[in-house]
Amino acid sequence: MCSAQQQLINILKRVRRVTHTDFATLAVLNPQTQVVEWVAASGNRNQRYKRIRQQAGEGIVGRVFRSNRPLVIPRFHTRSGQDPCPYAILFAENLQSVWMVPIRQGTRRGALLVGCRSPATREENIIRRMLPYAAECENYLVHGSETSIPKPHQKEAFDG
Amino acid sequence: MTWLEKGVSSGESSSFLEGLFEHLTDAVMTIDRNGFIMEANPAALRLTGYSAAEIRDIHLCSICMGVATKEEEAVCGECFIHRQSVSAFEMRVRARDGREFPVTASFTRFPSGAHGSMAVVLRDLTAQHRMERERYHTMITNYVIQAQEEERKRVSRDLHDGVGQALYSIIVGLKMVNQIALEDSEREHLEEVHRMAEQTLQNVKNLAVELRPSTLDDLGLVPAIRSFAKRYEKNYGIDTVLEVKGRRARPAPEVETALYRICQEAMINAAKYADTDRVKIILSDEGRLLELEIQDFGQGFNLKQIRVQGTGLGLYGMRERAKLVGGSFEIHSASGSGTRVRVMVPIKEKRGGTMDEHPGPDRR
Repeated sequence: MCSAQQQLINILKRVRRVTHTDFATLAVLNPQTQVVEWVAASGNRNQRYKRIRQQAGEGIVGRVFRSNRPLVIPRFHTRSGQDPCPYAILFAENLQSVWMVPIRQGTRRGALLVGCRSPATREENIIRRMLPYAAECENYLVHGSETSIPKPHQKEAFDG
Repeated sequence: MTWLEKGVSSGESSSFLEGLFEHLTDAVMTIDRNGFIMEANPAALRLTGYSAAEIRDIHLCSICMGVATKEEEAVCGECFIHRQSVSAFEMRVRARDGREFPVTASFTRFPSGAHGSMAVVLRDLTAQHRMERERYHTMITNYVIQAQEEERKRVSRDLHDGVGQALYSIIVGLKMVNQIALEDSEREHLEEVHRMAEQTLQNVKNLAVELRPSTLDDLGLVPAIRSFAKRYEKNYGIDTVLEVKGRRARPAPEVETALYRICQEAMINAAKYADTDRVKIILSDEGRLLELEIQDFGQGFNLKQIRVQGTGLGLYGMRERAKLVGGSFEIHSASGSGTRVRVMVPIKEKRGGTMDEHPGPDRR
């Protein structure tokens, strides 16, 4: 039987396939520390996502949490003088378009993200296609915390 | 026969004056009563680009674009030709090829009309103007950078000591209220407010540090870079290594600020553009030279064909900051082999003694 972590990676692989995107990941808010972590990813090119830590309310995840609605960035450009910190995950994976769906299970919160390394051309259906997988990820919010989340120093084969 | 040959009787003084006219590095032109050029020496021909034959009978207005005033570079208002005397002034000249440049000018009105109405002497000011502009530019940049740092320091301290302290007092007050017997719903609400206040305090502290870390002033460059590297790792997920070599002396505060800002800019550039998961910072102090190197292991870029993705001000700012503290700035990069930013600043010993040692060991 698969661990919760492996199950989550499988969900991310599937959501990436059905949305035809390059990258999928899940952000989870730690209710004790109020810190958001990217707990697993599919299609990642490096391990940066594992080390990124943001306070609740900060960054694009903070925007999704506050509005409790999906967020779409169809064409991401680096603007001069722009603080890159809120978009760290986009820079980490060189994403140019991103779709996010909030997930919630009681007091536990998270956000499912998929993204492409090119500007969006077919954004309209992606959020709708993500929704069933977002619902699957909600289970992880409850059970996933019982499973160990890989630490940055742990080696893990890239999942391209 | 030139005006000079006609006008000078003695053969010896004639050849002396001729030689003077020919070899002067200042451009000299004689102008008739109507403003047409009668004669020009070789320096004037070089300055304007006309041949000796071409320049004769050209009106002065064809090459003069106007006189410089306080407000404008070239104004064609009250022409100097109509004045009896005027001290040296600046005007703009247009050469035969259309190139315009500033010159310093003076003129001498002749008492009789034998050799024309006046002689105009011109000297090219292009190089001086460029130097003056660069000097002025450096001064303004220095002023802007210093003003920005001062303002950042002030706002950072106000946030930390003012807003931060007030929030801390609110949190203590909330903890005291929490000790009173309350309904569960009230306690839950109070805890939520308490959590929000703590998060806001954390945000205020982060903002103060981002503006200007007090560590930089209190403990120095190395602890400030260490602490920035820790935040950087968390913010961008990039594995960061800091290597410190040589002495552990504190350089002048302006050098510390310049190196800290350059390091910050280079590291953020790496996070934004390098597509890398590893950055290495080397700070070495070998006594006379303080050297900072920021190396990423990302995609790099072709220095000859820089595709500017931001304003391009980042690189410019780093170079300017290095220049302001008498240092040099180098950037090495090639497609596929990462980018290395290197700053070298000569260390000036403080007057009357050695430099300060770090107050304590660096801790990470």
